[in-house]
Amino acid sequence: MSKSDKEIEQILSDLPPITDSVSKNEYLRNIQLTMEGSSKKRLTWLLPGACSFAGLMILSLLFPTPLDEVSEVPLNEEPSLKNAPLEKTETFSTSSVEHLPGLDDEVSDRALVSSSMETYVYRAVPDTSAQYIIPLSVPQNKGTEEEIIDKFSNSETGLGEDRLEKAEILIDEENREAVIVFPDGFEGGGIKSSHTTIESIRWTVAPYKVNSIRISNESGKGVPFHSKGELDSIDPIKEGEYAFQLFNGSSRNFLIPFASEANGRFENVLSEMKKVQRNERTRSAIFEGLHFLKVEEMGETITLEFDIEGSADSGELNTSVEAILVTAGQFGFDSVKFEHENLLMLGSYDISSELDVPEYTNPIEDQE
Amino acid sequence: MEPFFEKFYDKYHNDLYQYVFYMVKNRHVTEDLVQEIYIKVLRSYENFDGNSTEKTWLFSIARHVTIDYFRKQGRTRKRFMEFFNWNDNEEILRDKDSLPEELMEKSEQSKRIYNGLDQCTLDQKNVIILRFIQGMSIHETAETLGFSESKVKTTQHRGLKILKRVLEKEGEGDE
Repeated sequence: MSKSDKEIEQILSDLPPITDSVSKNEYLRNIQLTMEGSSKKRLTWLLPGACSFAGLMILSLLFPTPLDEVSEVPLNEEPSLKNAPLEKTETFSTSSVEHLPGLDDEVSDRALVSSSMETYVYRAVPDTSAQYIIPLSVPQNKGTEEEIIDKFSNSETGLGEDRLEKAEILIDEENREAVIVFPDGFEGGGIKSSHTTIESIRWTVAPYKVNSIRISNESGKGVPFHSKGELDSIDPIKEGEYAFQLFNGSSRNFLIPFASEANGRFENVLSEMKKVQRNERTRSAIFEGLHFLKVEEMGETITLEFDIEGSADSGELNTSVEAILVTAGQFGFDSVKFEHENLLMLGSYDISSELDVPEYTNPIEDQE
Repeated sequence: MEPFFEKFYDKYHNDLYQYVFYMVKNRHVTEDLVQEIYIKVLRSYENFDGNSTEKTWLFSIARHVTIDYFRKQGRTRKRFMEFFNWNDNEEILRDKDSLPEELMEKSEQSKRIYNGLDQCTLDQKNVIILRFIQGMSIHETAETLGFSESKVKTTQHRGLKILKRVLEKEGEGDE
């Protein structure tokens, strides 16, 4: 039954006052501490930045030649770090970072891979049963990504062992090529293990949108992957190859890829995403009551006219939006426009304008 | 500093806390934001020109702090799909989706309206909370939000329309 404005206003004014569990004295104490400590805090934050900057300056003075040699792009352009060929990059990273104060090894090393301007690096690890691949975004500045992934690699989160822990991952952005170097003697293992390692590689480098992936050991030879034989290259993820579903860790959830058979048609992939069979670990990421009335591709934007049936909490709706955005990115779209007769919000998302697809998904933080 | 804080706390704390809570729907975030608001108030009180009332000035600071919070959330989400996973954000969403215990005793309609606030835009939510939960007049709401009075009325109308639709939809689901 429809309510009048007055009735809704009345319900609103009857919403209960919420009790604050923090006392006046606690607020005062916290405020005093924050206000007194703010100048000190600022210095603490400035220092690492200054050290890093100083470190980078020293770096450029100490090692001008390797930097100049490794790239055809001028030094002052960010891609020069990314474009470094494997051999030169290794020389640069191992000979320089050990001696520079304020630059820990991992940050410097990874800066070669994913640029010093970025704060996240990308990894992909299997679940504990090595059945699914979970793409991750790992902050660069909160310890090494291996340390962070290690912390999350347990039955609680559902993350398994990082298959690329011992590998060097290098991105040649100019040639849009990824180079993965394993230690000499590394082997992919059995069929399942080889498959998992290969998929880990493909998803780890997927955000860089490379055209080719070269793999080798330190001696420059191919790497044995069971029945696939000795491989020196593997295929990168192609546009429209995957859609995303939900993976239930015990206490964490992730969006994970599944192979799409939609032949690149977004309308079909939405149906696929909704029809994902629910099992112990995975289920559809799209709320079942979310119906798509019209799907229209316009350039780099996909427009989805939708309706909602039944009741969903904002978490379910956020997950639906996010799975669609990540999948749209995988299908080569830059943005998604959600359209509804009345709604301007879908979960926590303001859908009054287009939503950009994300760079990657499943960020993990080293805070636990 | 202490006398200023005590004055603001005694006069406005309850209203301030309610406003921030209904905006963000998370107790921990509310406590952090309320603290941040007090700090901004204490730092800028000497610049308060008296052109508006003390209360609308305080609430306009509160509004900016909560909007900043949502912007920061939005930026992170946009970049990486912050999702329900991980740490604070997971707690925020979990907390946001669960009803505060104070609301448990209330009617089903109250719970739906509480959840339905998330379907409104930030402006609509601001207007509705200030007008009907805080009991501010249209003039006070306009002053707090920096809107014209006609914009407050329009935004209020649109917000109520969305809440009405939420109740209708939920009602259909029950039938």
